Parts: sequence; structure tokens; C-alpha cells
Amino acid sequence: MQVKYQAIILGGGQQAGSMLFPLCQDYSKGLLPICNKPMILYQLDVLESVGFGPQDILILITRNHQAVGDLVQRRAEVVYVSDDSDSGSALLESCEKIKKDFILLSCDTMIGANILNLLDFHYSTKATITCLIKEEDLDKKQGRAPISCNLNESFDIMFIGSDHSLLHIINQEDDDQASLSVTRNVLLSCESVQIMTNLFDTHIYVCQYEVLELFLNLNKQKLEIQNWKEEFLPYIVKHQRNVNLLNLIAKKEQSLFQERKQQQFSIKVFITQDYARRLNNIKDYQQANFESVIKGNKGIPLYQGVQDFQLQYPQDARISPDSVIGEGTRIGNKVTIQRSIIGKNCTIGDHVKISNSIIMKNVVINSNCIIQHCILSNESAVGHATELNKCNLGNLASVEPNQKLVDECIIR
Amino acid sequence: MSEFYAVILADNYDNQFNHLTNTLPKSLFPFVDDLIIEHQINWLSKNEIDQIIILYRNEKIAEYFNNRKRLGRKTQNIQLINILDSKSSGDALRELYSHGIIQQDFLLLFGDVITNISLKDVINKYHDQRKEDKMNILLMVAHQGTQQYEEERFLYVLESDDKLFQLIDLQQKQIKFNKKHITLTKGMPCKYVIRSNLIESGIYICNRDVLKSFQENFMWAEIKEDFIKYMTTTSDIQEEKIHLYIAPKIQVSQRIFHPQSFHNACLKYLSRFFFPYCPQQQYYVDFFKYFAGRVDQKAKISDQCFIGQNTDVKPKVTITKSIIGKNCKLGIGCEIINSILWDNIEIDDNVIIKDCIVASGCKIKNSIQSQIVTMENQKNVKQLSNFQKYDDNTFQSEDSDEESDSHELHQKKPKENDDQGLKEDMIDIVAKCQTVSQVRQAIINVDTIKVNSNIAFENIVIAFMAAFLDTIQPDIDSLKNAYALWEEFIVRFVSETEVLCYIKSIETFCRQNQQYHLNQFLQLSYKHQILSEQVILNYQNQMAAVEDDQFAKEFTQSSQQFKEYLENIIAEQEQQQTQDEQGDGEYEYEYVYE
Repeated sequence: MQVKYQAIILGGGQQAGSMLFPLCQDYSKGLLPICNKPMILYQLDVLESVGFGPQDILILITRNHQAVGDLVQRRAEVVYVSDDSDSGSALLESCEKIKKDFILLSCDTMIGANILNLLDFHYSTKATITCLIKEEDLDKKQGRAPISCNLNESFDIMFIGSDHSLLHIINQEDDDQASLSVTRNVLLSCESVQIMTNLFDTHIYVCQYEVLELFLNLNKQKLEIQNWKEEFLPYIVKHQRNVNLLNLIAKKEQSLFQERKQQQFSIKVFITQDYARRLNNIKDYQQANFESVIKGNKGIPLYQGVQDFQLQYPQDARISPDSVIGEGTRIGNKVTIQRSIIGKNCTIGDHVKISNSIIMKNVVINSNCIIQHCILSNESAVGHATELNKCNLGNLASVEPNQKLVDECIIR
Repeated sequence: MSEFYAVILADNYDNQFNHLTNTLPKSLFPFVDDLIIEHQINWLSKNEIDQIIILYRNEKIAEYFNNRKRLGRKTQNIQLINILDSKSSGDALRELYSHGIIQQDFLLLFGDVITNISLKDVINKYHDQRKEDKMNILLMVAHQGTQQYEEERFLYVLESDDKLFQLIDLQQKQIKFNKKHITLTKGMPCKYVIRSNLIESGIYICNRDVLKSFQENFMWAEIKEDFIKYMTTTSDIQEEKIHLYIAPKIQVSQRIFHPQSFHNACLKYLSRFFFPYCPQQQYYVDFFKYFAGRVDQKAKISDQCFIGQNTDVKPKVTITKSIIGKNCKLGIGCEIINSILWDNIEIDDNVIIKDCIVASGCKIKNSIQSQIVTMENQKNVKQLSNFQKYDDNTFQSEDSDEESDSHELHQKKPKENDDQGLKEDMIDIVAKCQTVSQVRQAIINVDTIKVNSNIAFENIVIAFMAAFLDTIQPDIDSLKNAYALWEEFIVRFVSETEVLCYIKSIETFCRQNQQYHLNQFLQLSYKHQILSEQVILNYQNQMAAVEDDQFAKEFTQSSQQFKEYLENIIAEQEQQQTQDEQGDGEYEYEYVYE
């Protein structure tokens, strides 16, 4: 049981999964499987391995994600927040349940780093907020870059001081001006400041309890700060030396022998080279799935041990070794499966070719289909002799027989 | 190494050391035990650089080198080049280029650098960089440390491999990086480092191309402002690059920009910062004290002091963190604090010298503070008489400004706490001033009187107000003119503690003379920023609360409008302040280093 910290997982709000259309049409983002295991279970496993017990983990979700709540109710405490709340306001609503310093995660980040190191770093540097940042590095020996952690075009430009503090953060997309301007005091505050563009924010923040109070006070002043990452964090980084901000943090009563509480506000970054990926869009989701099936040396420790059982399938089925097939799936004759992940209890007809696809539970694929680069959600069905290329099917969607579809999104 | 020249720019083009550099160039200043230029030549020869070119402007350097005999050292080849017509270091470099001596690379050294940086690594790095790219033409040497002086405060933006990308001076509050110059691509490893703990040392290793560029751009005057700035800001067009060599932490340098840095450099030298360049070991006593002369046991010498040869330190002399040259004579009971005394100086008994630089050959009879004394101006030095330990009789207050309007004031002996005398003086001063420049003169005069006679601000204000109020007429225009004329004076002497007696004196005056209205005085005072809103409001409230006073009642009535106006202003300010606090209340940050 973690004594010092509490974990808070932002399980999904109204807009969760908006970039994952159509997968999240009727389905919670937290339940989307990576290698047949729902995303949110990865988060819980990581936290449990560090020592967070059910009483230390809070999951904040809105009512429409009740399925997530049911899944995890024995492993964490579920708090339902109001439907239109954003990440910041969700925190505010559940603030009575937050009693200690907390680590804030979102449900869609896959992390391979050791959280204990992060917590130790936070404690030893007495930081107010520590962000876990992954550094993307060029693989110099191979001469090519590994695939980056988010396949968006936008990236953050961060100014990191020599004592690991985060001095300034600008998102490349937002900034349209021709020049990058920083105040002088920011650059003077540390001996040397590095401008880094290859850092990826994993949305894992370890915060002291005062940060919540600060957030509360800022809201009282009607500053309209709702979203944690997009509004609150840049605001804090910008004003971290501002005396007035410090005054908003309530001063604790000082007893005679207690050390005077430091009023320094410091935001530090903990840079790791371990695996991290944020799954809020289709490309990243696919990429994570494919990374999860890599075995051997290059395999990512996070995904080891997920698939542990053997499956019976007919002899003339050609299934490549980097595919994963779930329990209870029936595979027909002359089926070719290449580099795909197939969930539980699916039915795959005869003469089907599946490559580079992600197929979730209870899916029916009739015979003679060719499915390439697709994602088929739960309980969808594909008719006879249909060719699907780069299509994504939502929950309970079905495709007519004899179709040839390229680049489509199909919902019920 | 035989082709490698060292070029010393043995002159400065600024007048920080105003009086001294009129006669003696900065390179010939004595620095603790030797001249600055000798220290530099010593350093160069220890780093195996024997070919030295000295660019000089002042004839004294030529004289010095002609008469120079140094025993027991390797003979260096020293060439002197006269740059008599130059007005800036750029001109000097152009002159050097025209002589055509430099064929390849050279080391450029400013004439005021004291350093112990080892040049071997520097030159190696320079040659490596040249091999990589012929376009690396300048290697700046910098060392790590806290930036202390205005001239040192720059931000160094470096790319990988210590290439200098940009040098930002810290005048502006917002620092802009031009996005066209910076390549910010996603996923690239860190490229730019901004360092604020580097200090330029004034040593540059340059290629002949540097001289060529100066020749081509004949408007360029300074190395830093023009050349380096040009190279870094137009780096997308230019191909020439400037690199930076960062010395390891024990190698430092100090440039002597102005008297404070001069003193600081001397103390550092004594504290063995520039090891292995230190004063001679045989003179070392303890705690960084070096006694080359005779020091009496009853003299009190603090740490970090240097006493030159043949200097006799008599008993009861106190020396704190100062450097005393050769053949000096210090009288009994002297105090020398934070000063630099050169050679052959005579100081009378019981004299205090504080924060001064005294040039060779001077005789000091009176206490001085924060002066630079040379042979020429030693008689005109402004003397101080404020030290309680000593008798007032030994001091004379001398005139400091030749063009003072009221000569007769200063030639009287100072009267201690003589109010009558002060009042007369004040009346004289006020009577004579018709223009603003005369008022400024009067400020200086009154300052001197105040210091000489140790008069409190309050007395001055009272005396002045008496004289001032005598000169004005009842009509509003005369008042306005009078205030406009004396604004600077009043602002100078009426600070927060004196406002009360200021207002009081006006009030008494108005009570006595019914034609004058206190309200008008207050409004004018507010307009000329002599009194703040809060003070006036407090006074008005106070007057409103007074009972049984006809004057007070009249005043309260007539000033009602003004009072409301002031209250509005204060309310606005408070609103503004809360808005500011929510916004960008940046607070002046102090350097915090590990």
C-alpha cells in the first residue's frame, strides 16, 4: 500500500475517444484492447506492481463509461463525475477523496517506465509537479529513428534547465508567430537551459497536494481553467516564479518545531528512455498493437506475458508467428492470418485473408473475405466475399456481402 | 608555434578610469606587484608564445618598452605598432592588417585581461576546428562563473560542439529567437543550450580572415558588438562560424572595466585565484596578506592586502583589503579601506582613504572617499569631514566645483548646528537662483553644506521653505512658476520623513498670511510629485478632524474637490494593482546557482 501517494486515473469523459472514431462510438476508450487486454487494465497493473492498492487508486469517469467502472470496481475506487466536465473540473469534483499527494494518469497512455523511480525523483527534488517525459532518440547505430510516441504533427518545445526544471513549454501548433519569445528571467534562472524538441509528454504528473488547492483557488478567481494539460499546466509553467501565485497556496500553520514550509514552486521533468505511447488516435492505437506482438529482444516488457495459451486451429491455416489469436475463436479452412490480433470468441470463415488488422471480441467474418489494415470492433460482422482495406468498424457494425471498401468508417 | 603571434590591444577606448587614463594607458597600470602588461607578457611566455605585437596609442608604452630590461627570461620578440589615429578597436585591427605581419592565426588579447587560462588546450581546439571546417574563424575563450558586472551579462546560446549561435545581452525582458534561424524539427535531439554562467575572457584566437572582414567592413568598431553580432545574426548567409572554448572551472580570467572590477581583480589575484600567477611566495604572511615592506606589529592589516617594497607601515595604521605600492609613506593612525595606492605616495597622519585609487606620487593630506586621485587633480579632490573619530579641526571643507555661483558660502568655516548661519545661506541661495540650471547648482551647494556641517534634512527643509516662501507672490501664476523652478530641489530634499515638516511650514505660513491658500500649495506639490496621494489624504483627514479651528474648517471646505479627486486616483490604482497581480506580475529574480 502506498503511504505517500494516491493514484488518479482520468478514465474518460464526454469527449474521450473523439479521435478514435468509430471505435469509441458506443464503447469506452478505456476498454479498447491492446493485444486483447483492455487499456485500463494495463494502467492498473502498472500501479499495482508499484504498490498501489485498491484503496489508493481513484478512477474518474462520466456516467456513459459505466462499463469501465464495472470492470475495475474491485481493483480501484470509481468516482462518477458530471457529464460535461473536463479533466480539471473532474478533479475538482472529486477533491474530497483526494487527501495526499497524487499521481495523475490518463487511461490511454502505455508506460514502460518504472513509476517508483519517478516517485523517488519527485520526493528527492521536492518538486511541486513532476512530469514524466519520454525522450525520443535517434537510433544512431541503425541510422533511422524509431517510430515516435505520437504520430501527430504537433510537438512541444520545452525549455529544460540544468536542474531538471521545466521552464517554458510551447506547443508547436499553437505558435504561429515567426519568433519564439521567452522572458529573460526564465533563461537566467538556471545555469544552462536546453531547448529540446524531442520530448514527449506522457501525461503522467506527480503533484503535491497543494496543487489541488491552487487549482481550486484559481477556479475561484474565475480564470476558466478547465483542462489540465492544455490550460493549467502551461499556466503554471508560465507563472512559476510569480509571487502572487505562490500566495494562493494556503500557508500551513507552522508549529514551533516544524520546518518552515518552502514556498518555492518548482516544476521538474523526469526524462526516461523507456517505452511510452499515448493512444488517442487511430495510428497510435494500431502502432501500439503491433508493438505488443513483437517478441524476443526487441519486445517491450510491458506487453510480455499477455498471451499465454495455445490455440487449436486447422492444419491448412497459415498463421504467422507474430499474430495473436484469442480464446474460443474458431478458424475455418485455408485461412491466412498475418501480423494481426484477433480477440476472443470470433468466428472466421473459410478462405479468409487477414493481414495487419486488429479484430476484437465476438466478431464474425464470413468466408472469402480479404481484410487488410482494418480495425473491427466488438460484435461486428463482415459479409461474404467482402474486401476491406483500411476500414474501421465500430461496435456492432456490419458490412454487407460482396463489397469492396477502402478507407471507410462504418458504424451501426 | 613560431608563427603564432599574440596581439595585445594595449589601450582602451572608453573613459571609465577618467583621470588616470588621460596620462597613463590602462596597460601600464600597476597591478599589485607588476604592471598589467607585464603580467600578460609573463602569461604569454609561460604558454610558449614568444611573438608579441602590441598595438598602442599612448607614447608612454613606447617609452616603457624602450627602457625595459628584464633579466632571466626568454627574450621575447616584441613589436610595437602605433595606432595613433584609431578611435576604436576596429581601427586598430585595420591598422594591423595593413602592416601585413600576420599571415595565419593569431591570438587577440585585450589590454586589461588578467588570466591563468592555459592556452595549450585552446590552441588545440582551434586547430581541430580549423581542420574540420575552414570557415571557423574565431574561437572565443570563456570561463565559467557568476556574471557580476553589466559588461559581462550576456546569454550564450550555443549549438552542439560549442558553436556560438547567438549572444544575447540582457537588456530586454523578452528574448526572441527567430524561428527561421532555429531549426526546430520534431524528434531531433537537443540542439540549443542557453548558458548564463559564462563570462567572456577577452581572449580570442582568430584567423587572418577576421582582419580581412574588419578591413572590408570599415564601419565596424568593436569586436563584440559589431563583428560577433554580425556573424551570429546573419549566420544563414554567412558561412563563417564562431566557436566558444569553455575553460575548466579552475581557470579564470578577469577584465578590468572600471574601478570596482580593478579592485576585485586585485583581491582575486591576492587570493590566488589566478594560480600559478600569484605574488611572490616570500612575501606571504597568512590569510592572503603579502608584505614586501616593513609592517609594524601594532598595525592592523586585514586579509587580502598587499604591502609593496620599501613601504613603511607605522603603528596604529589600519589597512583593510587594500593594495599599497612601493615606497609609500603612511602616517600614524591612517585608515585605508578598499583602496588601491600606487607607488611613491605620502599620506599624512590620521587620514582616512576609502574606496579610492591614488596614482603614483600623490600626497594626501585629507580624508577622501570614492575618488581617483592623480598628480594633477590632487588639490581639487573633494574632501570629506564626516568621520566622528577625528577632530573637526584637522579638516577643511574645500570647494569642489569651480563654477559655483555662491563662492562666499563655501569659504566660511562650517558652523556646527548653527541654524542662523544656515538660514542666511539658504536665503542667499534662493535669492540668486533664477533658472533651473542654477537651481541644480544650488542643489549641489546645499548638499555640500549639509555634509560639511552635518545638518539634518529637516533643518534644511525648514530653512529652505522659509526662504522660498519669502520669494513668492500671492497670485497663482507666481506660485506655479516658483514650483516649476524649484521642483527638483524640493523633490531632492523632501523625502518621506520630511513631508510632515514641509506641510507644517506651509501651513504655518498660510495661517499667518491669509492671501495664500494651503489648498493651492498642496495641489502644486502633488502635480510636481513632491507629495503622494496618500500623504495628502492623510493630512486632509487630519485637518478635517480638528475642531475649533477656523482655518482648518475653511481648508477642509475648499479642498473637498481635490480630496475626491485623490480618492478616485487611489481607487483606480488599487484596481489596476489587482489586475496586474492576476496577470503578469513578474518578480525580479535573483540568480540561484547550485
